[in-house]
Amino acid sequence: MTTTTDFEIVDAGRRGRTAVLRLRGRLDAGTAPTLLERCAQVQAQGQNLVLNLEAISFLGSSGIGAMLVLVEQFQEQAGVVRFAALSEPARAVVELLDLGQYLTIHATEEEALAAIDAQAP
Amino acid sequence: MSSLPVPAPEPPREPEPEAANRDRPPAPPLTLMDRQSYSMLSLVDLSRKLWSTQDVHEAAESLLLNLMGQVGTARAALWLSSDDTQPVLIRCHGMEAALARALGAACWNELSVRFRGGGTPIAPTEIEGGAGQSTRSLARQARVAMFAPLRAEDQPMGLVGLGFPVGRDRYAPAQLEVIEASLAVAGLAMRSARMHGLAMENGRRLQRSNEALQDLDRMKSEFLEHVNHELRTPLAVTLGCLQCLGDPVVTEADRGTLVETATRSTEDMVRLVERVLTLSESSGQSIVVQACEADLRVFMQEYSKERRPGVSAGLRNLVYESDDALRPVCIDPTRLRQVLDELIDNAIKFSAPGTRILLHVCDREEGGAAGARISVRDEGVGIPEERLPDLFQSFHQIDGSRTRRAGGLGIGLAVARQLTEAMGGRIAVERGAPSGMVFAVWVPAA
Repeated sequence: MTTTTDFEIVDAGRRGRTAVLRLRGRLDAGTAPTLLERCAQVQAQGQNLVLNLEAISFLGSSGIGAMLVLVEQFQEQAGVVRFAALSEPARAVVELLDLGQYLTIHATEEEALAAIDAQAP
Repeated sequence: MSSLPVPAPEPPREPEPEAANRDRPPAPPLTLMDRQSYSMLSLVDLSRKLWSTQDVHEAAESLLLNLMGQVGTARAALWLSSDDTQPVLIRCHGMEAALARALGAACWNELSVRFRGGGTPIAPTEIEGGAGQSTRSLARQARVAMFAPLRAEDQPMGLVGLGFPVGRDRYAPAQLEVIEASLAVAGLAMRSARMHGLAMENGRRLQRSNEALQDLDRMKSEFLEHVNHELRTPLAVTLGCLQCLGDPVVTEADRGTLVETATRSTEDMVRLVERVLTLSESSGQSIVVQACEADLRVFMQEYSKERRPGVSAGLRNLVYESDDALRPVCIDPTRLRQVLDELIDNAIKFSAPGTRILLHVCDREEGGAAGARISVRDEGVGIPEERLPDLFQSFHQIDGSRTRRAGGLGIGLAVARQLTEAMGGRIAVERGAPSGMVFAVWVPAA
């Protein structure tokens, strides 16, 4: 588990080659680098990633920036990152910027995992 | 793959506190959510972060993430001006670093002139002149849609490039205004971070010089104490003999004794001078080490945090990595700090702005003994294989010419080796792949 004052990343285990991280608290300029650092560790192990945003209380532009960076980074390494169970504050920002399709958002963690499984060769 | 469309927003309501979160202060409610309020919150968030940052690379990363999230683009790059005529790529996302470097080099001169007295963001298609064609071509490859100036109080500092907003082919005027406002805040903060870093670096150098002077002073005192006692006695005897030889009452037999005594004393002095020379040669090895058990992880975290702003101000990115658990080691923290300073200073000397210096630490057994390995890796031009064996000798520099780029007497690496060995450790160097050098220090476990 990675924790800062306002932000937590809980390792929710893995299914096959996909790691699941659950985020809690504020994803903003102060905490976005922590998320990128943790996700880089997942990527270094050659895993796909599901990020659960159910407990995100604030999603700032730096958080959105980090999510966009992750999509590109995982694509570069032929990996996949999916976002699941967005909280209301997170959903409002994603909707405002019309990023729902680009970020590939799923209603639940299970749906995101199933989608990655279905995509696997 | 099932991508869910974003549902229509529900009526505003107070969020239910979650069980695990009940003891925490409630997060500020996010009730305003239109473009304007989002931009305002983004700017506040960015300002708060930047004013607590004293590191150029960290500030650049904060700015790019914030801008990307504000406008909804997956591509961004930031270049800073340096002493060189070429810009230094500090950070990029969504494009290859080599492509971003080429793009920055292609448009730099044209945009530096254009943005000198102010100027607003422009698209690559608006760049004219000889640089226009290559810039447009590279910008298409990198999918960069616009460039904006980074300034601090009208002084140009650098340039930011941003990709197209997702699902759109242009920026709205309001988005451009937000970008300009963010860059104004970031320009000031980054200049402040750079000045802070340079001040820290100068302070650190001053402190190291002071420590070196104290060492020299101590050695000088020991040396004089030694010489004072040893040299005075035979000199006094010789002088006394010579004075007696000039006295007419001294017999011929006594003269012979006096000459014999003076000769013996002079021979003593010759031997003493030889010893003094030997002492002088070995005085550099007179290193006082106070080794103790230490948590290397804590030491390295503090050290890298302390060095990062200064290295960053020189536009090199100091990246620190460590294994999760490290065994306790036996080190003299002051001396190990000096060793790492020498290695990092050396890496800065022989690498270009815009490159990384990687500081890595892990447990390592060497020759059957447990310990830890600290490596400093640069991305510079490297050192020819045949020069490596002499590298830790005093007064050795790779480029011996008077016009060499890197300053210094060439004693830094020799001092680093002496200090490491005085702690019971070892130091080694090898060529890095694909470029640069890797200096590795091994220290024993506690």
